[in-house]
Amino acid sequence: MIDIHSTANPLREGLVESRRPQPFTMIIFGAAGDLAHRKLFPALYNLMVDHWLPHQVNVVGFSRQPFDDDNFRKEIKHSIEQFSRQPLNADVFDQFASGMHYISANFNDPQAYIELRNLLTRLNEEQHLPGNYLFYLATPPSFYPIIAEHLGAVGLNVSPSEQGWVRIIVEKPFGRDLASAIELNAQLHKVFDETQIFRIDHYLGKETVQNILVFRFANGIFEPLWNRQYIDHVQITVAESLGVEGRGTYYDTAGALRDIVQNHMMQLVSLIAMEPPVVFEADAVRDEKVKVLKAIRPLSTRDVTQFTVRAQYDEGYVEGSMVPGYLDEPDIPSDSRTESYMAMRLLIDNWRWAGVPFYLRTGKRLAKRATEIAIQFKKAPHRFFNQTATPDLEPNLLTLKIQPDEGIALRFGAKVPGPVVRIRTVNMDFLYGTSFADQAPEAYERLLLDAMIGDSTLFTRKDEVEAAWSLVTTILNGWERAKGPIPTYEAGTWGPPEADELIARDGFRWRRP
Amino acid sequence: MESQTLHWNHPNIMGPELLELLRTSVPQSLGGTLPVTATVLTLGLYVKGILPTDWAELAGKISRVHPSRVLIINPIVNSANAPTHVDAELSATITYRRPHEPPILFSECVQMNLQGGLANHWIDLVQSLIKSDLPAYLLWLGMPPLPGFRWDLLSTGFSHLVIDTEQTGIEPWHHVMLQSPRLGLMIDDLYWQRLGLWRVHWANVTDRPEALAVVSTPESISVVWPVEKSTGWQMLLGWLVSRLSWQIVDIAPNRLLMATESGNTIPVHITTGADPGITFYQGNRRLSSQEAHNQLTTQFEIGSDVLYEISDPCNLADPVSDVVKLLNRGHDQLYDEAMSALLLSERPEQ
Repeated sequence: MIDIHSTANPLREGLVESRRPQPFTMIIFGAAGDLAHRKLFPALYNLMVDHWLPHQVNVVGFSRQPFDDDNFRKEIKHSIEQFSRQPLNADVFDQFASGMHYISANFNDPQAYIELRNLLTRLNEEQHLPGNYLFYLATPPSFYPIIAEHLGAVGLNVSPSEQGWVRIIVEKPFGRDLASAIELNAQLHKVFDETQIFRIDHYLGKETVQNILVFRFANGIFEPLWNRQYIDHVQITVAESLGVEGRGTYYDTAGALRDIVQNHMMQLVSLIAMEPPVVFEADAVRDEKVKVLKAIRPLSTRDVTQFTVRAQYDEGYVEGSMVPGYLDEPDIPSDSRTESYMAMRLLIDNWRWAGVPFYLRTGKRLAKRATEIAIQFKKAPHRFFNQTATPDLEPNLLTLKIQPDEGIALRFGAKVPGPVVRIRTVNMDFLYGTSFADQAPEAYERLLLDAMIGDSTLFTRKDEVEAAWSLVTTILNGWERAKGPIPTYEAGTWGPPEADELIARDGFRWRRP
Repeated sequence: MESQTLHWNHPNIMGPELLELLRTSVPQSLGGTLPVTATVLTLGLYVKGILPTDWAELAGKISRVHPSRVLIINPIVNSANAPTHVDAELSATITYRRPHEPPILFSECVQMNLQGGLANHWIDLVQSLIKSDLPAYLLWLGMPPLPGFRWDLLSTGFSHLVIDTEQTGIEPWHHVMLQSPRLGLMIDDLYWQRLGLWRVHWANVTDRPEALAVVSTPESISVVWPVEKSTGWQMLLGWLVSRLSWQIVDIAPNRLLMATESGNTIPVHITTGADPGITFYQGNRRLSSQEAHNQLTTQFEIGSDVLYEISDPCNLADPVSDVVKLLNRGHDQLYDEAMSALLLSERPEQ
């Protein structure tokens, strides 16, 4: 018997489009900013084109720019024309635009939040909406506690209806160190509980990052090998060929460790190293990720010197063009000690990974853009072909390529044709882009849809953020104490010699992506 | 990524020659270089008796956008007494990721005009051309084969049979549908996929409890549908039957009687009309959906008051997108459930 009062709709079960949110209103703080224009509005529009959104979606822009509703709609149309992966369809856009509203106000202005509450109440009444609100803080982080506090003051942290929901999406960076992350979490928790807070790291919305879990847990052949018995070491590379690109002011306050390692690379480490969750649900997955972060061996000050490297790029040639050094970039102080490169070794002290080093490196102005995870397996236990000329046989290597050239490659030895046994390393390559004719959604599309549905699997939980900051803060403190000169590397190379020495001490070398 | 498409014509050859040509043509054209193969599936197009204008463009476009081996199977009508041979046209799309990296064989297209004995025994040749261990779809354009067709042989090569009941209706496929579970052959229907908009639209509409109440416990239903596409309403109601645990008491092309789990009967009145529409009645409540002017619109009414109206734009039909979408989504279990509800309940016409 169908229970029509239950929340489950039997006509939705089994549909590919079953993940459809209830009608809601999204309120974007910083709606006139770059993130909203480049990512959020195109993502919302694409979700609507692909029929993922409910019929009643309102978008309220909240920003300091003096737009009215019509200007705001024109701005959004322009964003979609420029940045959407799907072309503008006038009918869909008209439907999308009919629910757009704009409030021009300062984030500190209490009156503006009353105006916002009145607008939301009016929309609920006019459209018979259940009072579901999704707040998106696309603002500088300094405004997060201010906006949260104002929302709480006017009662917008809870839905006006019993069945309704209120969620808030917070962009990275979530703090500058462990203390500020704890403080930010505490400020947000004064107004919102943890289930309402969605900390977004767009890396987790990438298809290839999600594919790490599918690759590991949907295939039977890899997981038995995924441990210290068979894996020699792991290398994670997030390399960029670009420099600070006009973001000098921001970047110099962050550096590679805060900008990339604390969030993106720690996510990659936890996805690679985590145990299989009991179920594929938000907290089960995040519990396992947090366990990995907590199992990372803490670094002493001495360890920081020994197992981490930081550096700044010097001038050099990237893709054939001369580029300036970090200290000569616009908006970078000439005495800056901010790292544009960092490499480190970390150990995960648990049953699966004991003794398996993880090497992480990231930097700007490196030889090429590449994000990859390389799992190097141990050599064959017996050199069966010892008597033959096979000196250059490399151990097996499984490479998960996150970007560009998304895919998976497996390196193995094969016999060179001929009357003698000679072995050469070859690659078995899977290219993500060529195997599926469908256009992959942008990371923000996936993550926004998840937040609308209330699925926080791909969002970072409080303890996850704090565990990552705990490690990173130790390194920051260690670097703070070190007063010597910061190593440099020539732009367009793979980093400083110190990083090569870091890995060479363990008998390995960085692979060349 | 740069790409190029290479073409070869090989009239009057035998099956083994075709296999050899398929293996060697591309490396020879690339100066002996073996390409990396991106192919992830085989797609057969059965085009017997259909004009090339109705399939050539489809085949070409699919092989340009989907990494696949496309096999065009064209048994020549009335050629059974001709000498057995194949007139084959091959093409291969090669992409180049970067200089100094091996070329990628993105897709292949093999058009086979099958003459003589091969016009009847084409499965024997086609099986050897199917990529091993990868999904293999056979898109059957046009009318299905006569009874006695060796679906058992076909299913050893192809894992999916793709039909389009908007063109053919369901009835000619009953036989293979009933056999398909035993054969391990999955049946996918392009019309079912096109009707996906209706299912999603109704799922959205019935997220509102009052709408779900009317759709799940109607006193009667009326259907207006183009007569030549009656499969459409049948599949939609079959889906409702399977989702809402109803039963079909009686079904015929122009009438249907269903019953809810609690035993209430739901008569369905069917009339023909150009714009498809289905209406659910419950007391003074009415939920009516109609597809017209590229919009699928549902109105919910109490008495003479329209409480709300919800519209979704219809995606304009594009055969290539339809097929590509189906290849990417794979088999839909809901289709099996809906068809099972229809097939198990079907009664012969009185």
